[in-house]
Amino acid sequence: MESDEDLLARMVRGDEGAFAMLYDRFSAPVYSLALRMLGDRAAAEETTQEVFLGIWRGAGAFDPRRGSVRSWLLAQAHHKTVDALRRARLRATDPLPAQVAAGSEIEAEALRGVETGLVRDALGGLPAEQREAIILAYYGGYTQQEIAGRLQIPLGTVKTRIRDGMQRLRRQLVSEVQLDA
Amino acid sequence: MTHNQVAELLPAYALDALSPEDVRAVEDHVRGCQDCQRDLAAFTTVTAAMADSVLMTTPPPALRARVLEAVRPEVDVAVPRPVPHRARGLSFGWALGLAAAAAAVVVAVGAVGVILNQRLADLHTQLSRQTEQLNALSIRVTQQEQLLAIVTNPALKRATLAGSVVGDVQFVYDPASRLGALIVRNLTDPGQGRVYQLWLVAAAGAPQSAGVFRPVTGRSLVVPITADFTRYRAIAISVEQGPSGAPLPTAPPILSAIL
Repeated sequence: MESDEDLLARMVRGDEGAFAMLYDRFSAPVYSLALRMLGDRAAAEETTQEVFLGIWRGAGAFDPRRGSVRSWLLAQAHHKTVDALRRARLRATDPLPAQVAAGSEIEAEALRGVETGLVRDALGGLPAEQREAIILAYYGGYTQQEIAGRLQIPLGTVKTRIRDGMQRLRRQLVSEVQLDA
Repeated sequence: MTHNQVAELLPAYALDALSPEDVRAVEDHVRGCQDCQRDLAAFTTVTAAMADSVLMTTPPPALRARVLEAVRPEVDVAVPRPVPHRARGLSFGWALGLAAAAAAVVVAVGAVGVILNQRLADLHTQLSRQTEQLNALSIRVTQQEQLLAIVTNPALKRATLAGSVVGDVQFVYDPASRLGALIVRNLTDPGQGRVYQLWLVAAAGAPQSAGVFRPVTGRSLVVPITADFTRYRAIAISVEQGPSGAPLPTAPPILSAIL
């Protein structure tokens, strides 16, 4: 099987067949993430399309020093989904009622969608306040400032929780994930 | 921002949880910092695992078709079609109409000659910008060499098509090398089952089909054309029946330009 890197190199040369193969490899995780975060099929489809067109146009910008194609592509997917989520929140006439849910509710809701044991266990092993901040940021699409506002805690506290929590996840997941690969 | 400040922001950067200003500062620094690149690769592996761990849902097959359709080459090849039967129809009146349009252009130019210099300067700026755009576009096209030959040609001539529809349609060509290209932007869809057909119009005789095309909404289209342009005095576009157009125009031109 051709590596993701080879497919990307072919895409830079305008190879549509390589693009189709990359789509077949990654459309499910990209779509699933968008669906998980946006909660709407039409919006998830639109975002998935946007992600792959961005990958097609930006294939040349991939930098192997910053990680694998898989990580890069899923980071683009997350980025575009967060954009879509923030646009939808701006469009909402009265965003407050939807957002009064406490962080812990969103956290529980987000964690229900987290199926894979490895990540679920790693998140579960974090101190509750670190887990909450990371889940609100990643699955909720909130900035550190927004999280501080929602939880009514100082911005510095949110930053510390996210940093410490991510360092812990890194120690637990990165070696394991890389051994898996 | 110092290295240490950026390094502290990398986890939040990987989560897309930074403000736009912080995002820019991080990206500026990471470009030149190998340590940060390595750390970011690790945090991106964490977030990729988080992405991978949501409940997997297969996207609908129609989405695949849409996405793949959207990356088809932005340049359609216009293949001139043979004339299957003898001319019938509008060619005479059509050519006359163009002659009248040309006369109107000359009159108008005389009347607004003062504005013309400014307009020429604008067009010149526009031309260099569009040449750049065409150059970038041409990298991806099958007819790369032909387009590059056109774009890099100092003898390049340009005509802006105007008429009854709003659209940004330019024709660039070089009479000596006989290479030309129609550059289509912001042209509305010709309608269900219809195509735009391109015609080269000589002073006498029937218009010559130079191919058909359909614009794709939101994307530029370049139609390469090879012809002895010195034989023609106008280029025109009419809306015809798809998919292959008509042997002779069946409707008045919607856009045209004098060569």
